[in-house]
Amino acid sequence: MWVSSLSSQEIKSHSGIAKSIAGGDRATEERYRALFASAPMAIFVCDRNAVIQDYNNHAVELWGREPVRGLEQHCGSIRLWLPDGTLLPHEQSPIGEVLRTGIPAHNVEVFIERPGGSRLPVLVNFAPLKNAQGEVTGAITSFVDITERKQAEKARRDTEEQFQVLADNIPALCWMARADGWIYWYNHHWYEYTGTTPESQEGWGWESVHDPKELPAVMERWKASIASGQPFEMVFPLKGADGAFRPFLTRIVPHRDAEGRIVRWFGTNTDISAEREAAARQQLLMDELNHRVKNILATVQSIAAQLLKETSDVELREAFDGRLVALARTHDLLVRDNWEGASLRDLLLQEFEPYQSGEGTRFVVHGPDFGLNPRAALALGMAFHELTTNAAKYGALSKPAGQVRVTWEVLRASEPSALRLKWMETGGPPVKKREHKGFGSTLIERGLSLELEGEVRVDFDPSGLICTMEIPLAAARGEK
Amino acid sequence: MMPASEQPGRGATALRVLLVEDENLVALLLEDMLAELGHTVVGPVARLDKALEAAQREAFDVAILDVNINGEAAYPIADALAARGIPFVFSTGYGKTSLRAPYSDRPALQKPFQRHELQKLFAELCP
Repeated sequence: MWVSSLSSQEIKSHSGIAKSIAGGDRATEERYRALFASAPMAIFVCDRNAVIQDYNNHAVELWGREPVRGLEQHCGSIRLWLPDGTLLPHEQSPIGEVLRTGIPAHNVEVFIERPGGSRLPVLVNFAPLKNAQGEVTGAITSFVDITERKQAEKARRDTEEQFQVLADNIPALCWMARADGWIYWYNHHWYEYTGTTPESQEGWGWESVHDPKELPAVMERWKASIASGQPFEMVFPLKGADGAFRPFLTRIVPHRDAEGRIVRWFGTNTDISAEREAAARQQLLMDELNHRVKNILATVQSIAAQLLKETSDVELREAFDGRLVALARTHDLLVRDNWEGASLRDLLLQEFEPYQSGEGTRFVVHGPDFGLNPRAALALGMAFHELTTNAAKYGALSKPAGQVRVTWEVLRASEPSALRLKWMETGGPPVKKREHKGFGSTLIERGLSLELEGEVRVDFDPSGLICTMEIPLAAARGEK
Repeated sequence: MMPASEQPGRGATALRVLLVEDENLVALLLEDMLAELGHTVVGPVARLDKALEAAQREAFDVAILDVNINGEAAYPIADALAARGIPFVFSTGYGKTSLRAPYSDRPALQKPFQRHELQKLFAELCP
């Protein structure tokens, strides 16, 4: 209760004063007077019976009164109070003990009651005065106002309390570690979730709530962050008090001092089981939807097959089946990416897959990565199917040496900006212009123009069919 | 023209094919396709319990197994077929990568069906 921090400077100046007083000649007394009057602290001197002999102006300021010299004892204040709020009667002041034993008392914290009732916090030092024989002749007491220091301490405590409240109330687990990674504090949620004690978790004790299979990977990355100073982000499971593991997103950031050195690490762990479950449910729904759609397509296929049973036109039935399958496979591509879109390249390669030769020379596909939105993917999927089937029946793919070359680019200079694609067939039989438009042409030309506001041109060039399409970017582009 | 690798034609042998499918029209389609290829259909069976019985007791060379029978996964039937050493093909509307272990590498017939795909799979399973 008596002890608080005191700088070595303060101790030295008190002994300095005591020594000056011990010396007895006039010059010394002059020095003593000057020191006594100008010292930056309150000082009073008393005799061996604790009767106050003298005091300086500072003491008057802090006491708020001028005690009668040679009469009052122990202390010049109206009343003294201890930090715990209890009264300290003057006779019980530490000065009594100091006078009796000759042993100084340092850094005593008391409150001086002033006229008007206010209490001033002061830090007091008592030094005995001794004669040449070593007997105690009195004591010199010095004290300083520590109001500011106490306010600063309270402010710090308040901030710390606020921080604790914050840390214990944010819905994540959080903790702090030294620069070397040794964790010295966890918030309330950590202990609540894991069901552990501070003793078991401090330092590297958190290993106990990790999945042993995942721990090596986590440790490697955490240690790498500690070494490099880079923030850390990772998802891994943590064991709850019930023994079950749940996935947590963990983020750790370093805190640096003014020189840029890391002084501590702040970490949070957020339970993402709800998000994971939601994502899994979403995936499940998408799969179910995909399954449903395909079943419907198979049903349609079956109905058509029954109707087409009357015709012995195998080609017709296979063409029909082919179109349904193209639709279904485009659908698959879209579901794979959670209906966000499909890559133009993937769409083409999927359509070409059944026709790929061993050397892979039948197709040349070239253009920037382009994500199509679902609508564009379906429309283009149908168009590519028609072009491919046509090439297989009458064009480049009907000959082993034939080649289909597809190139595309994004034109930003045009107004509006557009995706331009060119389909070029070579090495096929001589091209004959068709007299009437079949369903295939309709699908290609109308499908793209109606649904995507695209412009399509089909050229029956003698060397091979050329199809060019220009689709407004807004109609073609997906999110990614 | 069909892609070069998959010319149509009759299968080498007439197979007895167990068909497990809960949707009538889809079953009809498969029955027709199998008949065209010269094979005989055992079934079709639309219920999981009846399918399990058939899988364990009937005599057949290969099975086409719908992955989802009335909302339930048909893997127990696959187990029974695997135990008997009888080859089988999954028929599915789910994408290519959705078969559960230990069947993730098993052949799957995608809906809607393609004749040449069916033929190819049977040729591989019953050479």
